[in-house]
Amino acid sequence: MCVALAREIRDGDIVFHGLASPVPMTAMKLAKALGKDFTYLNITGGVDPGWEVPAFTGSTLSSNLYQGSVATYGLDEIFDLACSGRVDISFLSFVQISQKGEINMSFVGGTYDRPKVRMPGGAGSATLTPVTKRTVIWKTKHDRKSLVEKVQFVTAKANPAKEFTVVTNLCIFRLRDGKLELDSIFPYTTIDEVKENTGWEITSTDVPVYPAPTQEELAALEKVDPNRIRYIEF
Amino acid sequence: MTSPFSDEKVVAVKALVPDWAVIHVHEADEFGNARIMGSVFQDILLTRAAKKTIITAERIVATEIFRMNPERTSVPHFLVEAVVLAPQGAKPGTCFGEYDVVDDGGMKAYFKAVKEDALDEYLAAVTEGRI
Repeated sequence: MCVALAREIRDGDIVFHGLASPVPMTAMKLAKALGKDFTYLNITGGVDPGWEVPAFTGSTLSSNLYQGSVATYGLDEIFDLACSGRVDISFLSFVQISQKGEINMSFVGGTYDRPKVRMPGGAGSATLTPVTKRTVIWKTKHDRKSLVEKVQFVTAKANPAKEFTVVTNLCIFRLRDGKLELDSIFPYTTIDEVKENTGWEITSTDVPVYPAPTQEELAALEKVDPNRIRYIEF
Repeated sequence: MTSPFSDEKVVAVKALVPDWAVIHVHEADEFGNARIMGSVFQDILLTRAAKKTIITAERIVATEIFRMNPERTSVPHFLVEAVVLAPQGAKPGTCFGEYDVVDDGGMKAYFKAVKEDALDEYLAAVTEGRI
């Protein structure tokens, strides 16, 4: 998954990740290690922190996300940059998502005022999804509780006019004509497994297999994340 | 317009988005990271508002200088389109800690050049150190 996220980054991009994002953090460091020329912004405020400094905890609030930075660019400035349309990718996640690209990060069960589980809410997603040029969603647990037919609450919604990609541990979906369509599956899974674990009907029958990580990518990944922090999300 | 949050009548002003911001700094690296070492006035705001920024700098320094104190970087490289080495570049104005007194003669020469529409000659004289 880290490799798939890293591959979404293009030269010249300005890319951001926020809290609780070990997989995107690793992906962005991987992209740097592989020589991609982009700007890495994160929630600590560090700009282009050194990828050589490995993560030693799963928290994306720790010092390694700041060390080696050339500048600071705080959340107020990042959100201003995003709102003026100058951020290329935001890596965001969800608790529930529908085929229309509606994301629920607010609550599940009960009502809005008395929920069973209250979640963080809009935070970054609600503001960033409409304004970021390309939204890349990652989810390490592809199951029917997460990919649902109808979300309980719409915290954020994909903009059908922009690129909106969902990368799970099984496959990649891309938004086309306002609907998430299966773009490719990972080498170790099948369309049937994807269908069994998705709450909406998948009609695609002939979907390409996503190219497996190369030796170069895997070697760089080991260098970037020797402590295997990325596994925390699985 | 009426405020979306109450019945109050308010004025909405569209954000200004300059195509370019040009600011003079003390230090910059070859990637465009730039540092103002003193009063910033509205220079930083200009770089955030504008689509692209051009940096003129007293000195070009190594990127390592910025990595040592990232909080002191005034403008991060991704906002910057070009870096110009321009020692004394703020003259006839001032640059905090470098030259703090307005160059009176220089200012007069500048205003004269503007009035007489002779800016090219003025700039040539400045570049060649004749003013």
